[in-house]
Amino acid sequence: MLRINDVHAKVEESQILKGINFEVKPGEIHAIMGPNGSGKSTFSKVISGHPDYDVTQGNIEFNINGKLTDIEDLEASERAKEGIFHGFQYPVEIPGVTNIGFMHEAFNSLCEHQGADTMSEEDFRSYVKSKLPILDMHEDFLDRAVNEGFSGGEKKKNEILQMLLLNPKLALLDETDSGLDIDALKTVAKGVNTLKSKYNSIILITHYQRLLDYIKPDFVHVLYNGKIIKSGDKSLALELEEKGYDWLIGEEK
Amino acid sequence: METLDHYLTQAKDLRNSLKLNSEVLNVLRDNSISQLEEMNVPNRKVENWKYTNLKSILSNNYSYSPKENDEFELEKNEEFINLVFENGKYNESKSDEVGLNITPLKNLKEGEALDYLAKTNYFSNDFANILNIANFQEGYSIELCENLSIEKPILIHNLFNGENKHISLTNVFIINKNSHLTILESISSTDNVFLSYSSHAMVKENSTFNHTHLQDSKHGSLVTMNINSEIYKSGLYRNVMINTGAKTSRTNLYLSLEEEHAEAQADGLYALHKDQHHDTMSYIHHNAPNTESKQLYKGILGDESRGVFTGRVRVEQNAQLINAKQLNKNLLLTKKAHANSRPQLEIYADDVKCAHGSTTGQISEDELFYFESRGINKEKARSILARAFAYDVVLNISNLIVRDFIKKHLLNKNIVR
Repeated sequence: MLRINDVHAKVEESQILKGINFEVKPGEIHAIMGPNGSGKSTFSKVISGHPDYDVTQGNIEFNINGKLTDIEDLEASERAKEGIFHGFQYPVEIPGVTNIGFMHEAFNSLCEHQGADTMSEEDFRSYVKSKLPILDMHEDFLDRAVNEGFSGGEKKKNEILQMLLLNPKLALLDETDSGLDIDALKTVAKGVNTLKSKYNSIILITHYQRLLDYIKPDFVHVLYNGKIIKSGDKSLALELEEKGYDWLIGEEK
Repeated sequence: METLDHYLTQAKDLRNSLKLNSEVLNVLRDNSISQLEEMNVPNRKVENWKYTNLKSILSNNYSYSPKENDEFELEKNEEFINLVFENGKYNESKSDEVGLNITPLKNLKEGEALDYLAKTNYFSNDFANILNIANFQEGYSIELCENLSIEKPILIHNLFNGENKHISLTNVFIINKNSHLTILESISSTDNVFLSYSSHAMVKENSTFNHTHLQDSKHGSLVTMNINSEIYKSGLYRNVMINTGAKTSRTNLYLSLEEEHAEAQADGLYALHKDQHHDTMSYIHHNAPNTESKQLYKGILGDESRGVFTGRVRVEQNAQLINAKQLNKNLLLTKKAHANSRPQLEIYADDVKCAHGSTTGQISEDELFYFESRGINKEKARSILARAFAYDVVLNISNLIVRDFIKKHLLNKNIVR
């Protein structure tokens, strides 16, 4: 699905990622954890192709038409159409563009890319409506401007709704749990689990292990100072919860 | 001086050839010609023309010619009552029937329309206004009688042609009391022209006039517009001015709230690209208590275009308890596009509510990346965002048929490239 080979990356002049090796297979859920400033957000933006982040060394390969392909030359929108979804830590507010209009545009652009028929406004609305109950969302959300005036929880649910509509091969969820109360967290987790299948892979980027109580990862990795310093299974997250990051960082030093 | 000589000679020729029946209009024309003789094309030292210099474009020597090429492209729209004006001349045979009195100003001996033109206001000594009247060629009094509402919107096709032609027009709309009218004036040209157009309105007691202008002249044109309106007791004037055409365009907008409970809405959008230049000078005058004005002007500026908005709101001492809101927002699509925004308040009353503001910004990288991360490419994203930016101006067009017409125009025009 995704293979990252010795990736170094910088934003403006600062080197953030310093040699990442990482592989995700279809159907797997990976959690990336690490203290603030360790490079977690950069990691996700490099994969989804944010133009401000430069890969200076190494490469990223993604499964395109059944073959691992270097995606360096693909723009963010092309990567998205190939099935990489980026769930934002801070979803952007877009006044004047309705939520449903935005999602419809995204959905149809995906259809076109796949050579499928585009969906009419009416059909798309009923398709979206069928997904709303999973996330406990009201239809009103569809006709409001994208994320404008949404609460923190509503924004995150809206991200997961978009993810479910686009059904990506790989979902990168950047701190999807931050700013959520326990009920919203459960709802969001339910949404994410709906995507889980043997074809879809998920990368969860998170500070806290509490999200992992609801979405069970196959692997947990600790990112520190631009490198993955430890990988393990779910028990690693529990260990981190108990001991913090210091014992690992100490080892690293 | 030299640049204006051509237009002065032309004005005098026109005076000799075009007979006007009314004393009022004759005096007005004579005075304007005398004023023009003393004038220069305004340079940047003239406050109201600080950002727009017409000198080089006027040196094209645009010329009036009475010969008409009558091949106008007309596309009637069944959702409207269609009225056709060709280089300013009303073509009744091509127009639909309508319950308005349309009379050429030159035939009138007297009447409200002429009296209206003779009144002085903030723009009376403005260059564009003087040039317009000095070169008066054509114009109508367009009157809606009392207690009449025309529900179906009217589409005025203001069609222009003739390469390098100078056209100078003045229309006066009179909406008598307890009446209701919706007009969309579409201004287009198939050649590069200099159009000087005054489109005035008098809105009387308890009347509503929804007046939208769509200026989409050919790219090399020069367009100066004067829009004056007086609004009387409990009258409502809604003006929406959409500018997408011409290389250089300038609007003088003067709205005067004359009596209590008069209301004005004056919104606008200038969506420019390439080397287009638009300048709106707006003056909203609260002359009576309990009056209300709202203004939203937006600019979408692509390529190397420039948009200028100067908005003055003046509240006279007796105009207590008024409410005035004004906002100008500009979206720059490139680094080479420019916006100048000058909101100005002049308040002599002490119990009023006035709010004004101005912003100029760009599409943020964050917004673009959000679209891209959903598979929508940059170009598409920019065009969606620009349209979204224009959206609230379009939404302020109260008539749905007019609103749809403008929406389609903005879509077809692909205001972002």
